[in-house]
This record gives sequence, C-alpha cells and structure tokens, in this order.
Amino acid sequence: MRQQALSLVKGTLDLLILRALAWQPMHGFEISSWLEERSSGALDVDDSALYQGLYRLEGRELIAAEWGITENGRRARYYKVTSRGKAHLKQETATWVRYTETVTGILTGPQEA
Amino acid sequence: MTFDIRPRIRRAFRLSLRRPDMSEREIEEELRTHVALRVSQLIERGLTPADAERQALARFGGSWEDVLSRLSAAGHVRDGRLQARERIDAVWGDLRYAMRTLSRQPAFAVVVVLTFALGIGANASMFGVIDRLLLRPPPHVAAPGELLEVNRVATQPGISQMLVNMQYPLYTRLRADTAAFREVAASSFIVGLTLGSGAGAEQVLGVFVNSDYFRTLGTRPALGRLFGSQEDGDVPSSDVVVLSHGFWQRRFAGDPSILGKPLRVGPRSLTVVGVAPESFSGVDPRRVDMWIPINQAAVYHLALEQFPTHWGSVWVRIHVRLKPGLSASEAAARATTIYRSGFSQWAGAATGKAGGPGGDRLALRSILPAEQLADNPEAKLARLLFAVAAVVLVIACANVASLALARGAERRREIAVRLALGVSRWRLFRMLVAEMMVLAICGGAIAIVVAQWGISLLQRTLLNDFAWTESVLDPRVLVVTLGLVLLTIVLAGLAPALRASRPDVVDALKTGGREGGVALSRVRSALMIAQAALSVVLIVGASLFVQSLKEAASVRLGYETSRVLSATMDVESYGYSIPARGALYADMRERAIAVPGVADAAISSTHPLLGWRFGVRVSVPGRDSLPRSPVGGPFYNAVGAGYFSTLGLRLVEGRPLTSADVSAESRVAVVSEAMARAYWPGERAVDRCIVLRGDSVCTTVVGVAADAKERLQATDAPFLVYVPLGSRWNAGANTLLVRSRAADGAPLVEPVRRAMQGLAPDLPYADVQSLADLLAPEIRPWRTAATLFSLFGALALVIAAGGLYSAISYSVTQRRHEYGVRTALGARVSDIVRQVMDQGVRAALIGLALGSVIAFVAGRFVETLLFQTSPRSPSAFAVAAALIVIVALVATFVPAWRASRVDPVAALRGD
Repeated sequence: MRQQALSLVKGTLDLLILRALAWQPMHGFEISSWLEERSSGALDVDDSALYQGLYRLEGRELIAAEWGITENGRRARYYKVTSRGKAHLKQETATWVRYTETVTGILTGPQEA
Repeated sequence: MTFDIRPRIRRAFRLSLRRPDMSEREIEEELRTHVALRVSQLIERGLTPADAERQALARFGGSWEDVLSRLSAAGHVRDGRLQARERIDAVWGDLRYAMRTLSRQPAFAVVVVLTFALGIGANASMFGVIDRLLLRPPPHVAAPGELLEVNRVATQPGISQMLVNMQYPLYTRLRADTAAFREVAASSFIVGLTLGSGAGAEQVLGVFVNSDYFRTLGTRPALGRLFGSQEDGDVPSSDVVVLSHGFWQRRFAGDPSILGKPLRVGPRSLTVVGVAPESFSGVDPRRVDMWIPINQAAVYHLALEQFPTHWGSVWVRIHVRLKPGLSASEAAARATTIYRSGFSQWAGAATGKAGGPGGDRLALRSILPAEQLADNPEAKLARLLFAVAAVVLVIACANVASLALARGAERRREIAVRLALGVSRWRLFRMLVAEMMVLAICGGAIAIVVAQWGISLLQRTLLNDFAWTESVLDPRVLVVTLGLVLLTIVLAGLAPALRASRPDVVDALKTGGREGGVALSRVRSALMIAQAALSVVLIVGASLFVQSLKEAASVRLGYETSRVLSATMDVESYGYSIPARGALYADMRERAIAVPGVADAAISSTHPLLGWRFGVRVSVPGRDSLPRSPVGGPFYNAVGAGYFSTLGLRLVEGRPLTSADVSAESRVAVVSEAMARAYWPGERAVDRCIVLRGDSVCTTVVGVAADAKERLQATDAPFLVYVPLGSRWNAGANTLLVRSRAADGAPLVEPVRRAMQGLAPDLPYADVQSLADLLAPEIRPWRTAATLFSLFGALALVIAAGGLYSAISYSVTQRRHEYGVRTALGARVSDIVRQVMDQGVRAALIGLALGSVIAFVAGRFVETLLFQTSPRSPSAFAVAAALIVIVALVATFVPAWRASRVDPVAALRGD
C-alpha cells in the first residue's frame, strides 16, 4: 500500500526548519529538498508555508538571513541558526520527544478489557 | 557565500547592523530563485518544462500574485519586529558600552557622579521647599483661585501699608451682604494657648475660626465633623474643638476614639468633634494644632470681651468667596463702603464725636501662595537660595563638560578609527551622550538621597514653624529631579559629544593622541572663567550674609539676652485679678530664686521683647510742651525689686529702684536715656520732678537707665518710665525675669518652668524661654542665608577648584613631551611651574574680574535682605578675591610641580 503524504502537525514546521539549518546554512529550496530527503517524501511541506515559517523564525531572531551566491552562480538568501535558535531547538526537541513518547505510549499501550 | 563585514565585527565596532527592509522586490527575487531551482529539479526528474513550471507553482498552493502578497505580509511583520528589537538593542547596547568605557576610568566616573549628585541634590532640596512655600496652593482648599483675602490698605502721607488683620464686626457685616459675598470665613491665631494644666501643661498652636470657616474653604473632615451651624453666633456656647491631623497623630497616635472626648484647652474643657484632613493648615502654611469656634474668643482673651461690636481692635483675618459675576474690584469697593460706614458709626457712638478710618480702603487679594508671599522676606530668601542652587548646578555642569571635553580630546584617535570604519556620526554622538546619561542617572539617584536629607534639614532649620507633610519626598520633587537629570545631560553632555564626534579623521589618525590638545582649548578656558566668575558671585553673597549675621548678632540691645530667661503665664484668661496675679508672680519669683543656678529674679508689667506697652501721661511742672519720641510713648513699666540688675540694664545716672521703693510704693521713677536726653538735654535728670497721669504730686526721677531695644532693627528708643510695681499701677505683674549665674541660661529653662508650674495644680502653661531664644527668629533669616550661602559657595568653590585642577593636570599630561624637551634643554623648575600655573591663574583672575562686576550689579537684589551691610561692602569682595586667588594657586601648583618633574628621558622615549 502506498503511504499517503503526512500533513504537518501545527508548530512542527518551525522545529524542522531549525533542525535543517542546524546542519548547515541553507537557502529556502535547499531546506525544502532536505526535508523531502530526510522524510523520504513522506512529509508534504507547502512551499508557501515554508517561507512563512522562515520569516516568522527570522522575526523572532531564531534564525538570521544574508544574501549569498549558490554553487551555480545564482543569488539566494541563506539562512542560519542563531545561538538563540540553537537553544530553542534543543529545548523544543526535548519537549517534542517527551510529548510524542507519552502520546505513543497511550495510543499503542495494552488495551484494558 | 560572501559577506561584506561580518555581523560580529560590526557589533564589536558599533557599526550599524544593517538588516534592510526586505522589500517586496527582494521577496520576489527569493521566490523566483526557489521556483527556478524547483523547475530544473523537476525537469531532471523527466517532466516537460511546461509541466515542471506548473507543478513548481502548484507547490506554493495558489496563484503567483496570491502567494506574493501573502508572503510580503509575513515579511512586513518580520521586519517590524526586527526593527523594534534593534532599536531597543541599540539603546541598551549604548548604555552597556558606556558603562564599560566608564568602568575603565572609575576616577572620572566617580567625580562626575558626585558632582552631579551634589548639584542636582541641592536644587531638588530647594525646589522641595519652594514648591510648598510658593508654588502649591494650600492643600484641601477647594477652588483656591476663587478664595480672596480681605486686606486693609492704610494710607498715610507717604506710606501705603497692606494690613491683613481686620475687625470682627467687619466680618459680621460682610457676611450680612449676601448679594456680594457668597461665603465669608474669619480666623485668628491664638497666642499662648495652653493644653492640659499643672505639671502636664503644654503650649499648643490654635486658631479661632467662625462656623462657616471650613465650608468656605471647602475642606472635608478626616474624622468626625468640622464646624457648622451648631457653632454659629457670638455667644461662647460652643465648647468644641477640631484637631489638626498632625496633632492628632502626634499627641493621640491617630486614635479614632478621640471623638467625643473632652480636652482641657486653656481654662475650658472642649469636646473633640473632628479631625481635619492631613497637612491641612488653613490658608497659611503655618503649623496649626487645633481650631476653636471664634465665639469662644472672649473666654481666652479678656481684652476681647466686647469683640462682636468692637471696631477698635484688629485681630481677625477674613476670606471670602464672591457671588458669580461680581468682579474683585467691585466687591472691594462694596467692602470699603461697608467698612467706612461701620467704623464711623462705632467711632461716633464710642467717643461722642465723628471719627473714621480716614483714607483706609479694602482690597481683595488672591490667597494663592505665590501672590501672598510675594513680599515675605523668608519667601524672598528661599527664592534667592533656589537661584544660588541653580548657579551651583551650572558650575557643576561646566565642570563635567570641561572634563568630558578633555576626555573627548584624549579619545580623538579611537573616535577617528571608528569614523574611518564607517560608524555614523549620529551613532557616535549617541554613544557619547549615553555615557553622560549613565553618569547623570547615577548622580540623580544619589541626588534623591541628598535631597531627602537637604529638605528635612531646611524644614527643621529655615522653616520649622510651617506645616510640612510627613513624607519628605513627594512625586513632584522626583519629577523635578528627573528634569534636572535631563537638563544636566543637555548642559554637560551635548557640547562635548558634538565636538568629539567630528574630529578631523585624517589628522587624528596621522598624529595620534599626543598632540591631541596642545594648549587648553578655548572652550575649556571659557568654562574655567565662567566657573570662577560664578564662584566669586556666590562667595561675595556668602560674605555679605555672614557680615549681616555678625551685625545682627552683635546688636546692642542694652541688656543681656542669653543669661536672662523670661517667664510668662497667661493667667488673665483663668480669671486671676490684678492683686491675685501680683501674689502669684511674687510666689513664682521666690520659687525661681530657690532654683540652683539662679542668681536673681524680678517681676515687671511688660516684657523686654514682646512689645507690650502701657501708655502714661507725663508732664513736667513749668513746661507747656514736651518733646515726643518718633516711636511713641511715653510708656511705663511697673517693675519689682532687682529688675535692672536681673536684666543687666545699665544705669547711666542715679540709682535703680530698690525693694524699699517697691514695698513703700514711693513716688520715684527711673526714666530711659532717650527720654532724659530729650527732656533735659545736656543736664542731669536725677532729682527732677515729673508728674505722672496728672497726679497732684511730684514723682522724683532717681535714675536714668540705658535704652532697651525691642527689635534688632529698632533705630529710635521709646520714652519709658520705670515705676515701682504696686497697687497704683493697673498693668500689674505679667512677666518674671530670671537671671542665670552661668552665661548660658538655657539649662535653667526646664527647672524654672517646673518650679513655677508646680505652684498650683490648675495653672496654665508657663512659657519660659531665654531672651536669646526669643530673639532667634529675628536673626534666623540671616543665620539661614549665611549658612546656606556659605555652604553653596564652598560647594561651588570646591567644584570649580576641581575643574581647574583637572583641566591643568590634563594639559600637563598632554604636554609631557614638551616639558621633557624643555627640561632636557635646561629649563629651570621655576620656569615650567610659572608657565603652567599662568594658564589657570589667568583664567581665575579674568573670572574674578567678571564675577565682581556681576556681584556688584546683582547686589541690589539682595540689598533688602541684608542687615546693616552694604551689598557693595569692599570686605566681601576682598574675601572673594583672596579665596579665588588662593584656590587657583593651590589647584594649579600641584600639576605645575608635576610638569617640572617630568623625566626628560622617559618623556622623549615614550610614545
């Protein structure tokens, strides 16, 4: 059976963008490709939502942007995580993991008779 | 990836972190890149270019315009947030940077902060006092601008006098004229009111008020009720009292159960019916303990028995509110008519012939303190001291500006580097102002502490009989302090910042710091001259007031003041007859003499300082007319044995009155020197015959006493006849004078008071004070002015000296190299010292000349506040000149000495 693309749970996109940029500074298209690659196409990220997320994170100073040149000579806006962004990512990842473990535990635990 | 200058470097050098508004064009460019990359990715995966483009756009979920507008909106939100944060960061960053820079030069920071603290603190203190005294309307008075005081303008040829005390029947008549006067209040301070009796008796400050008083002022009670129609009428039937909030707190610890309790006030027991609101003291700022219905007046002062109809005594103050539509001048004209007709009627009935108030007319004056206190000398003095404090602040700011200029010159190179790196001048300017801001804010914080201390000091010393609120620091003082902080930033910070932020970049980079400020800059010299000039003005002022104080303190009154105590007891209102009073005072005299440390005591019918006077008709057989004194008289004083020796009053001729004279009630008298000289110029007065009160027999003059002054500023002495105290003189005994063995009688005040008070259980308060203390309020204005002026003058001098010292030291440091070369070339120590000192001393001398001119011109403003001292007193100017020259020499000698000690080798090798 072909798996249907998962739509994103609210608030997780920001976390995923931060995770992607923690790897290395990237421009928008690279982030989109990175997410596709990492989820093996399972995550369906709307490009418009991606840019809105980027601007939101930039406004909160969790990421910073600067114009740069891509490998094949195009001008592109590169994003990188700020130190505040790193701290935020670490904290939110821990929360997310605890949250999903709890929810998963309840959902897949032994059913009471 | 290329970045012009990395953000961290930008941050380090305070370059602007350029986060450009991402315009819509930029967002579009970013998205187009994204789409282009997506299209080529999809083509690689095998789609046709047309399909690839369609799918790439589809992944944005909408039409291109749609997407663009949605993301532009998101971009705007982001830009707004970033800009706001950047602005906050910039200010905070400036402040933090300023603190870091300053912490590297703690000496500079400490000097500036302390200078600011003293300058601002002095001003905030003076404001705190001026505010309550001159600027604020009386608290708890509704619509104070509409409340008017009725004053009497007494015009005599050449003189026009404004009198505040009026007649009681005038109040009654104004109240009856309801067409003009909506409300009328009458009030009168009570002299010598006793609370309690016997050993526990104490003196309180009371005011008689009419039943409409509180309603007219628009005051509401803090507790219970204030006076109303129950207290109406002229019959002394209302045995009630309203307490002031301060007195209620002080005496009864704010106990609300005081309502309905009886309070022994003077001879009566009054019921407490209410408490006035906090800090309410009526129209005047003077402290009040309680208010008593005015219909009780006759109970407390026998002299006021006829008060409801008596136009002969002036003792009430009248405040009115007018009917709407009536102007103050119309109302004043009406009041004048009422006054003249009332007075003439009474005078006609009283003396049997028509007489009247002459050219007197009534005026209505606003009660607003600024107008009321316009010509009160204490208010004038407070204003003058406020101006003086402002001058101190200006000197402080000049000092800080001068220091900051020096620092600016020192940092020329650093600033040039920043400018070369592209820091905007605006940003540089902000950084420099931020430093001054940090310093001024720290100074302001300390100034609040200084002000708190200063205000309470001023309240206790300068104006201790005013009703001050409990809290010393009120919001208005804090606001003014903040304003002063901003002012100091502008005065002390702007010029140096402007100057420092525009050096010649190339020049500064090329030559470095050494030649940064070769000589004292013109601006710094000007500041030094200005400081010296202002200091001179303050010192001249201080010397003038010190001189006045000395004059006032050394006035010869003709008798001793610190050794002699006077004791009075208001037994009149307790129903004592004249003989009973005589017996009581005789007993008190015996008791007082028994107190250890008392040398002698004497009874008299008047008081040397309080201005009680009893007139007497004097004639000399064989002379039709006698000379008159410009200050009135003749008056008589009936005195007991030992009067002259107790008071220390010298006999210029003849003998004093003896105890034999007193017990025999002999027809003998001692006359005052002024009288003797006027009656018998150049001849002996002793053994002359004078006739008193139209007697049929002679009274023999046995002695002539030196003139006794009642006032410091009295010029002419009244004609005075001293007669033996006895039944023939109905002034009776009123005062007991006590002479101390020790030069200072103050320690005897309490023992004497206790001895007198213990005589009977229900006596009123015995008011015992040394004559020096009674005189103190008269000397107080000069004492206060001399103290504060000297304090401010010293402060100004210290600040100016510090400024001079730092300016010269700075210039010496800058020119170390030069002095090294000179020393190496054989310059003598004295040459270098003289050369360095020359700069500072010259500035001080120019300042001295300038300041002397200012002080000379400004002298006429203080003329009326001085005591027998000319505002052009040469000695005051000499003191200022000497001080300024000495200070300039000391302040410049130290750095000059250091300049002469520069090691030529080290100086030449350095840099």
